[in-house]
Amino acid sequence: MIQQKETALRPVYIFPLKNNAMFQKVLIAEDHNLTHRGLESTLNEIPVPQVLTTQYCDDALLKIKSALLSQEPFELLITDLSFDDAHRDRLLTTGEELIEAIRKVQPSIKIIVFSIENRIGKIKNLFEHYEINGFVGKGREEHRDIKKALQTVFEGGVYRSQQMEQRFRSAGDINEIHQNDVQILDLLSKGQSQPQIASSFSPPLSLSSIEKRVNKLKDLFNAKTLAQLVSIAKDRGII
Amino acid sequence: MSSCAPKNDSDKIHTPLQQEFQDLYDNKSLSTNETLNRLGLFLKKAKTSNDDTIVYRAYLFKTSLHAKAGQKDSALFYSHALLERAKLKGDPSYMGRAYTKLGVYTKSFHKLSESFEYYNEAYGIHKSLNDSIRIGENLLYMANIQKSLGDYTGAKETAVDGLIYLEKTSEIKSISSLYHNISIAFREQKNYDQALTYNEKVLALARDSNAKKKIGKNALLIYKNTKANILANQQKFDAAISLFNDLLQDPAVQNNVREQARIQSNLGYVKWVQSGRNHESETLLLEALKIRQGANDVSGLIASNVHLSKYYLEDAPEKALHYAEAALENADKRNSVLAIKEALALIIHLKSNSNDEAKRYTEIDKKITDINQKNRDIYSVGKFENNKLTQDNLILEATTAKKEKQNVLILSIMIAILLFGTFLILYLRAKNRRNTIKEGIRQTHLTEGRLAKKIHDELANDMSDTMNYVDNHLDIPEASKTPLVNKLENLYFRTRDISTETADIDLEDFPQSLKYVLMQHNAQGVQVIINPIDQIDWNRVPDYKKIVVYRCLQELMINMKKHSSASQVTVIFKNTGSKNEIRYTDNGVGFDMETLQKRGLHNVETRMQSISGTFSFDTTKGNGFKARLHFST
Repeated sequence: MIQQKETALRPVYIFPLKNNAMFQKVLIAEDHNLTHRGLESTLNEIPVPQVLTTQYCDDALLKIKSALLSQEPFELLITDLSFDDAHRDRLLTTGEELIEAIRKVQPSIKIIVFSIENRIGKIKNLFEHYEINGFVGKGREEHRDIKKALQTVFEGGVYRSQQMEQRFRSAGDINEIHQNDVQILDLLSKGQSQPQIASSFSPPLSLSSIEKRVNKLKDLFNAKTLAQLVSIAKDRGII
Repeated sequence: MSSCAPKNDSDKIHTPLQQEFQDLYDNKSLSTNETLNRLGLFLKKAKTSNDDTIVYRAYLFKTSLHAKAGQKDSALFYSHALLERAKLKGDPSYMGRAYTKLGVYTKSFHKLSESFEYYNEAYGIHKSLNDSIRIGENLLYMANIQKSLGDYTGAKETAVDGLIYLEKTSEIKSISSLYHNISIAFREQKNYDQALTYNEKVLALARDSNAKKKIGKNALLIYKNTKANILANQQKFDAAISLFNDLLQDPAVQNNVREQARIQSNLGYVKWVQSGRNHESETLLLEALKIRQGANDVSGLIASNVHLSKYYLEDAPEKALHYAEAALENADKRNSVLAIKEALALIIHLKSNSNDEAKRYTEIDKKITDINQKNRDIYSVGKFENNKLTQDNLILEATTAKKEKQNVLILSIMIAILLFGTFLILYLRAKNRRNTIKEGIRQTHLTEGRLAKKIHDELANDMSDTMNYVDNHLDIPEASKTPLVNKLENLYFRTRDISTETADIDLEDFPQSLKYVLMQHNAQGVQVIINPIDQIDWNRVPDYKKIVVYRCLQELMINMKKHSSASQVTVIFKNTGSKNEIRYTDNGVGFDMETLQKRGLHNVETRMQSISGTFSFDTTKGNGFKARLHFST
């Protein structure tokens, strides 16, 4: 679960109108004209009363800071990850740096990343390390996705498109064989029985835990017998 | 200038100059010296014409004639002249041929290292001209040099590269030499089974009389002799001896004293290995020596003397020393470093006070190592540069293909301009890349990163925006809008994929980076299984190697996704000392060797070689695919 960092320094503010079940003040950091215009019009449809746009990371940080100082903070940042290199003297150059800097000044702000990024590892990292609240991939469905994302994040949830959710799950499923498993397979290949193997660990493992691991490995490699399991492990270079 | 009146459409048209050359070339009645005289006069005249080709051909002919007459200096001199001429006229094809000639004649002066450099130049030039036959030919010469310097691994690699170029041609003479080269290399490395496999490939090529003629009678005798030697190494003495005996009955051998001596000496030696000292062996070995002395066959004499020295080693050390010293004397004549080394080793073993020889042995051993390393460096740098070009071209081709699919004119022009801009930048940067391999890899990495960012920031984003613009704001009938938007979406995804595949690699947290690239493919019915990535101590692996390993693994995974229909992939990381291994196994459909090159695997191989690593694989259609990446820390 993703949890927001709570800090004592967090500024207190009140939502302007209680009956408005939506963000009131949103900042867009995005340097493509067509894209941010598209985003603006989507947000206007919802509607979000105050939408500000900036094309530079440094500027985004300044806007967040000054809104915070004047007690009218932004509630949500929608940001791209990649920004044009054209301006050399910038302090922040990527979306990740921007997110990190903003989290320092306003930890409670919600963040949705809107990008063409497709590497699942990188996106995972955004959620796990940068603790973003939502990710919307650019593409045909982006308008629908943005609306859903705003709703979900506003209600306190974390948003990923269905397809992304699926990829998230399968990426988490990458099977890592533990060194203990390797040792078990190695001992099996040397003809040791499972009780023997259990006692050869230090500290010794229980027979049932060895059996459990062996069964898991059999499942994983779709092996019916121990002999088949050992031969698969050898074939793949695990032992 | 020229009388271009065609006699007949199918007839080749000759200018008077060309006719004159042809007549000279075909005239077999003149002595070599006379032909050379006339050729000199002809060259003078030809140089004033504007027919460059005839000048080149005259030079080529002239160098061959000088070489034939044993005038090696002249052959070398006119090869240089040819090179200068081709350079002056900017004619790369003949520059390449001049370099090959320089390689050949430099080699005849036993300057192997210099010769190797010339061949490598020729190889590079023909490679950029896409001339497979000449690429293969030069790689063969290079492999031969590496072999004769004892760099068997290098020789094998070079020969295999050569085969890739020649496989689809009818150059069976070169192909058979390459196979032979690989066979010898395996034999020297004591991998006799592989040596025999490749030897049998050579002999299988000599199917019919036409093929035999192309390969050459003498070459075939050598290949059969090699087969017998390999059989003996495999302890199949009877098979080896019977093959030697068959050869001795062959009229081609009986008419060729050198071959006869070679086979006799080998036969005597093998019989001795089989059953120890015996009169028959001794007679055979001594007879062979006598024949070779008579024929003044220097390399034969080296072999005979080495055989005899080994024969007497245990029981008659004084005789053994005498033959070892004779072997050294002959090896010095040919400046054959490997033979010098072998003879010195025998002398050190046999002589009571052998300090000088021991000193010389150390020196020559170091020299051999240095030359081999230098040769490998020369070759791999050239190979790397060339491959870079090909790789850039591949990206270019891929994106050009996308362009063709676009059927809305304005959009395609827009995309073309963007692409052109991006790749122009890439190309210009690529041109600036040189220096060492490390620098090359680093630069490639940087360029790839920049390129990825450019594709990402400009191209992919614009693609996405354009698609949305068409989808939401363009007022055209649904019937034509839907396919257009579908196509644009496809285009967008593929652009995004290029950006993803070339993006920056986080080298600090490298295990995580590797994990991400594996995760990327752990989806849509593919299960990825790994062991702990930190089984390899990545902190000790230099950055430029990490980049290469990452790209190779990525290439394997992309390949898997595109072609294999595998449902399970195992990637295992292993380390022993400073040696690291990554083993990839999938349960997909595999593929046959024919489709191999199309699959980007060649890239993996060259990438691994650029960090002095290796790449090997094992696959057959229907049986999955296994690959191993080896590299040192």
